[in-house]
Amino acid sequence: MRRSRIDLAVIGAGPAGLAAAIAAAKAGVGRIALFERQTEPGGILQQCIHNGFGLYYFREELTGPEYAQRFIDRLTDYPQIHLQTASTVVKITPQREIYVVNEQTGIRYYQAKAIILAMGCRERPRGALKIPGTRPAGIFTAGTVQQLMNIYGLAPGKEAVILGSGDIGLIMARRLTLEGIKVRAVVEILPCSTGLKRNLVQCLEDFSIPLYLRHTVTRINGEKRLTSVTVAPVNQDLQPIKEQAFTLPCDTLILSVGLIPENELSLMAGVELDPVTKGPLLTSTYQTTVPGIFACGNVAHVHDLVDDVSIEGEITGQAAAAFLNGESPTEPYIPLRTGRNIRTVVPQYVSLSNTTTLYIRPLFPEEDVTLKVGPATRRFKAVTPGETIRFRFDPTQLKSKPEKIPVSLEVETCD
Amino acid sequence: MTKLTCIVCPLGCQITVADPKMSGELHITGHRCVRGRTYAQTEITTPRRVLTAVVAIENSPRLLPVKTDRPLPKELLFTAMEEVKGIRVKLPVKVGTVLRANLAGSDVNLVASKNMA
Repeated sequence: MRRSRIDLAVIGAGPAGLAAAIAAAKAGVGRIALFERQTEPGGILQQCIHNGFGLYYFREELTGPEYAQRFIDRLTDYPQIHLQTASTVVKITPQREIYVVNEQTGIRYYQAKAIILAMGCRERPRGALKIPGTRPAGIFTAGTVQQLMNIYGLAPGKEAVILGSGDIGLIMARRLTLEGIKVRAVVEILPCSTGLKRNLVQCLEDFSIPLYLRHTVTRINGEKRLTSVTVAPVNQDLQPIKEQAFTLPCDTLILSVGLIPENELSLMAGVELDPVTKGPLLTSTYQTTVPGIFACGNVAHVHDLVDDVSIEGEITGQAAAAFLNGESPTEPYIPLRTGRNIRTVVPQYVSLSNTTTLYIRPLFPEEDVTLKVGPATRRFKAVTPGETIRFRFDPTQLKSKPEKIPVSLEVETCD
Repeated sequence: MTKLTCIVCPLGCQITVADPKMSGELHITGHRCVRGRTYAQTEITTPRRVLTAVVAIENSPRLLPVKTDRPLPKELLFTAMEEVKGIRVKLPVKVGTVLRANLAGSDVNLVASKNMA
């Protein structure tokens, strides 16, 4: 097997990989291989035909394919980036060797000086939910329905129930309705939607689609094809109240119940994962626990907005370039510790010399809280798990070098 | 008094419009930017939404993603979708290529949202 030596391998040409590869090239990295398993770059953006992307990054409202196109167009300015589509990375090692499979060229083998992991995430499937019942056809994840409709022009069914009120589910509720498919209800186990408020308005309220909060699907019914789902309210412990269960006839159940970073390759390379984000543990320059291996985008943690993914990709591309220049900081990174009402914080380690933008996700919705990151504080009128808090942490606020920095959301006490 | 959730950006500001019919001028509060104010004004008079969809391509199984170049009056969404379903596009197209002017008899155009050749 022929071995090619490259400076940087970027795995995945979605928004994170595109931004990272371009930033690295801009910072002077020579030989960059950008591997993409699909036949075109852009990642999940290509099937996200709805608008609302780019308001922060481009200061205009774009659709997914338009947003992707902006970055794809930039690739032509950087001939040192070799985009390889229909090329699936099947293995990477801690020594930064990369094995790639392509239908035409077979298996190829690369030795890279640095790697950026940008594989994105995948959806939680039915198996992750343990819903009792039969196993008929007609159960899809929201992203699969999006791909069927927007890439292949196929309708998943005639009448749908959507379980989970994440943004993809809400977006698909609107898309299905506009295509003439009846959306009976969106069912959400939590007391609040996990999607953006704007999507509740423009995807559900606009079309009078009912949203059942504090409800879940308790049974799947039907033999060959789904015929109905049983829905029940849940109590405080999220357990179904069987006495109040009811049936919603439908031939399609769409799951929008969360995303899991896709880290099989990361684990092969010996990268240590955060048990909560399910993404690699990261420093403020998005380096993993393996030197020279970086990670950004949804493989690192699930983002609300692609704009943040692009910014993170750029930081990572620049960091990989600095690493390749031998500028790799050996500075101590201080771990952050999640405290009260904090589900995740990324990066998990902060630098003492530079400001780090932290992405913080609360555990539960709460009003009038104060975010505390070590000595730094910021007040919030309301926080919800559906909306990531962005917080710029400035290490100069630290009076001494701590062992760890606690992160928490605290309720104000009158004193 | 009307309460609205702004859909202009992910912040989702809670906007209050006080008695639009009573006084001549709308009293809008709760928005954090000028675009929110414009949204509230439009929303209580003639609500509009950007429509996105896919259209067929001549002699190809592929689909072209499309959007309206400006928000379309909300009550025209389904009429517009019927018209969109009948469109067959000839390639090549670029982002912004007008595929149908005055969609559903409105003042907005349907444009390509992807480069395809």
